[in-house]
Amino acid sequence: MWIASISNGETVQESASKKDELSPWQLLLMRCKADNLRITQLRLQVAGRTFHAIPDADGYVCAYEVRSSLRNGAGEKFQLMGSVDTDLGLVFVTAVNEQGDSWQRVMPLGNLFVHSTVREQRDLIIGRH
Amino acid sequence: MATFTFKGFMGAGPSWTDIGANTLVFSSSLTDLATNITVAQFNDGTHVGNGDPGTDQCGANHVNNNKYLTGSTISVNGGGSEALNDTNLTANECSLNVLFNHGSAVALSSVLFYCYDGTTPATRAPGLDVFCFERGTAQTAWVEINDDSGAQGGTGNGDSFENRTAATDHDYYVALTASPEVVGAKTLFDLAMSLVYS
Repeated sequence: MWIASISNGETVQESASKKDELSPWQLLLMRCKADNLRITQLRLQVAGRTFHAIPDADGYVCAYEVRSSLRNGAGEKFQLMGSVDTDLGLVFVTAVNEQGDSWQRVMPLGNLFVHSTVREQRDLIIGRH
Repeated sequence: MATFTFKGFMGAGPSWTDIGANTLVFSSSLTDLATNITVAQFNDGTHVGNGDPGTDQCGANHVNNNKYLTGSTISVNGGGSEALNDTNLTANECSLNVLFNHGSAVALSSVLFYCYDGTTPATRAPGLDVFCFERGTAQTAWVEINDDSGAQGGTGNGDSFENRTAATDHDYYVALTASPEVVGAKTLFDLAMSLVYS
């Protein structure tokens, strides 16, 4: 579950996804754009552990990474939380599996753009990534 | 909840049917999954088997066969050479449909379809050349996703698929073709998809 602090002092946490609606993260990004708000801190809580993103980053990313094989359906699922550095065009990512094990990576912003606070609404439609 | 479903166009009808716990088998016959493919030749049959190859699970109609002829041509179910494009290859002529479903409308990135050894995603399948084609995205050429002798395969050489806009269902129609580089059963061979969504 992600927990976001936003610039009006409010704390928003990930709720259950609703059928046919955008995901809670994408809805938060829309609200921030519409109300001229920004995320000031982001945390991830998985399996009783809390992971903290870089405070006051240029932007943030939240997403899930999944993999499935054809042969036996074997797969993996990670929740990703990232801090964006727009000058470098990079996202500093913490990937956490369902057991709460974590890995850190640096990824190009382009690979995560649509999941980031720096995306525009139209990026959801045109599939920019 | 996010789910992947791998389907073949097969059975009575035929219709797109979940492969389930079975696997895709390439052979040299449209009707027999146990006929081996000669080294350096490509598949003349594609089937769903319950082992390596096991028994055929296709039912009344076998999975479509998509055969590599050249880098930009295809034979569909034993037919003549056609330019590889969305006009000549309809969705219902593809080897495989991968459906990614989520209850919410999710946006995708880093959608990767790849071939690997069935154990380690980054490791290529040994002894095989494998090509794929994502239908519906105006492509005109096969993409090689495994070339054992050329040291290509696994997640480092997958095909980046295009369908990523926000939706609950993302359907990928894929043509697949394979050729053995050496003699022997190819059991260290699997296909997979990975992606990022929010």
